[in-house]
Amino acid sequence: VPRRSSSSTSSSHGSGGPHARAGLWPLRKRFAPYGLLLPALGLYAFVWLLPMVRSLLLSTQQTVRGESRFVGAANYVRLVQNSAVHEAFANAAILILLIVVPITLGSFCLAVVISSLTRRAQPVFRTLILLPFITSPALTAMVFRALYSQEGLLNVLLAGLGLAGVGWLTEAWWARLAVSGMVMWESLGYSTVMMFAGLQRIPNEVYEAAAVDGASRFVMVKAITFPLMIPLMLFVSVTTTFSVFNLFTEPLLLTKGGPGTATLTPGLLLYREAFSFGRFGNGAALGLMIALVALAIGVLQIRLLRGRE
Amino acid sequence: MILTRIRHVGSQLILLIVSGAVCLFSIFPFCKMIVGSLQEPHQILGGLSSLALPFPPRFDNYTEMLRYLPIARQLLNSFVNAGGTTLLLLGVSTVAGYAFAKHEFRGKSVLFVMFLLTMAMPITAVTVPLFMTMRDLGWINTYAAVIIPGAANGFGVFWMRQYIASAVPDELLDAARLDGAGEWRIVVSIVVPLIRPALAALGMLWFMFTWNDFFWPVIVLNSQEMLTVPVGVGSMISRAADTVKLGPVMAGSVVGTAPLVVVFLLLQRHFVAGLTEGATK
Repeated sequence: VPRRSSSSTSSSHGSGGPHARAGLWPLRKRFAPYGLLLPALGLYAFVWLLPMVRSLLLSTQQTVRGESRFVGAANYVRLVQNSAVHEAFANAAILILLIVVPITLGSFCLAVVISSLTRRAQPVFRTLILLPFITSPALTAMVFRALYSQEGLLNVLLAGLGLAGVGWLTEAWWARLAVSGMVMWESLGYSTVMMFAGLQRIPNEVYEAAAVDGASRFVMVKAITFPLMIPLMLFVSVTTTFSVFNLFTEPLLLTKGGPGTATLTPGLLLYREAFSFGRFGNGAALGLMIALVALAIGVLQIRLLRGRE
Repeated sequence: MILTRIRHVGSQLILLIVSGAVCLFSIFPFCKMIVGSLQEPHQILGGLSSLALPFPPRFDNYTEMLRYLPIARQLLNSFVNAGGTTLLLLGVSTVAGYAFAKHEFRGKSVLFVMFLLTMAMPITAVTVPLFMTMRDLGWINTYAAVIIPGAANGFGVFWMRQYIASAVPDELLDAARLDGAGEWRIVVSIVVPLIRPALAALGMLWFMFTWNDFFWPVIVLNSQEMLTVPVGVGSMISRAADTVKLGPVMAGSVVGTAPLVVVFLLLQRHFVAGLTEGATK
């Protein structure tokens, strides 16, 4: 290890000890952390801070044929009054309701089921249910379109049950269910694995007393496991809420936000405004609006995460 | 006795059926993807016949896919973007995480909260201005346009701070400082070797996120030669209104999914650790 000059001076002073490097060392020590943070600060300023400022400026401007002029809060006022914006945020809320509750409760039950399987079977099931989570929705979208199509497998199944086929991608509520179905398929593995890891961390002694009392497995899950898992269930549901609020790929590739605006999400609307219609001011204002709502959800998520440190 | 035994076997059977059904639910679309990539276009959508693996399997969809997608180039793009983003995120987050875990300095908590906030911020918050910056810099259709924004996520800093705080003993750092090692040297030769598992877990997780990402790359990439596989396949889906290109799309989906599945099967221990450690500790 090459020695730095400050410490070699101290040794030449013999008994000087820490006092000898008092000149340089504390200064270096005081500024060292900032030096370490410099790459991260530069990167984050470039990606987040400067664009946020630019976004604020942009959102108060209107661009007509390449010329920008200041319009104050006009973009925001128009956005708040715009029915497409209302629909996009309402759709996000609907999708959140359709997805988050079943995913949270379903993954809890599934994790309990998996933890009752033999030790040899557990990793196999964990692997299989995680596969949808690790694949890109852009790459599985075509499969789901095939399953959801008019003559697709789901309608064949319905016909087998004696029911009429459904326009999975062409009727408003069925399309919302179709998008929710694909998202649930993707995220069930993630939340189940989280829940399963949480279950593993509950010490065995907790159950032993109940077992002595002769409690059945069902009672134990209800009275012991469920309450202990509530913090993790909250975390999983907030995480899922965050990702559903930012949904983009699935509605774009399954339904293009349709039929009408039935599956139009805030992210999809932003993409359309800014990159299909070139309305950058509108897009920037919408982006900040989305960020505000997402931030509220995300801060809740971080608080839950840090609360259990 | 016999009754409890029957109940036991019965409940095991129910558990097995439930978990088996869920596994089937999970892997069925993958089976359909593979079968579909070998079928004739008109079979892919059709009801029950859409499940039949054609015999002998036909690979026309794969040869036809090559006409629409420069798939080798797009696979390379996916590797470069995902690998570059992961390395940059790991490097920056390790150094910053070390500063937050092992140093006291003015403004520490404010700065840390700022990093955390980017974790709670979707890219939509800055999409338009960041796109304009990329355009002004001439970075549209470059690897940098994907890699640099992808690496700026507070999740990495948060994760590394947690891990370094618990995995790196202070005595080791003090000893190195007495030996005259600078802070950067300490990071490279003491911190990094001690946090290898965390690097593997976070790296694997981020590689996957970037490989699969769609929203941002679809905005900053627009030439076939620069697209990643998901964006290449995704833009074929959103363009093709008819069923003509269904077969090639299915083939492209298989090619884009396969590398990640292989990596996942080989390294899933790290991957699961990456997913769960931060939140369930």
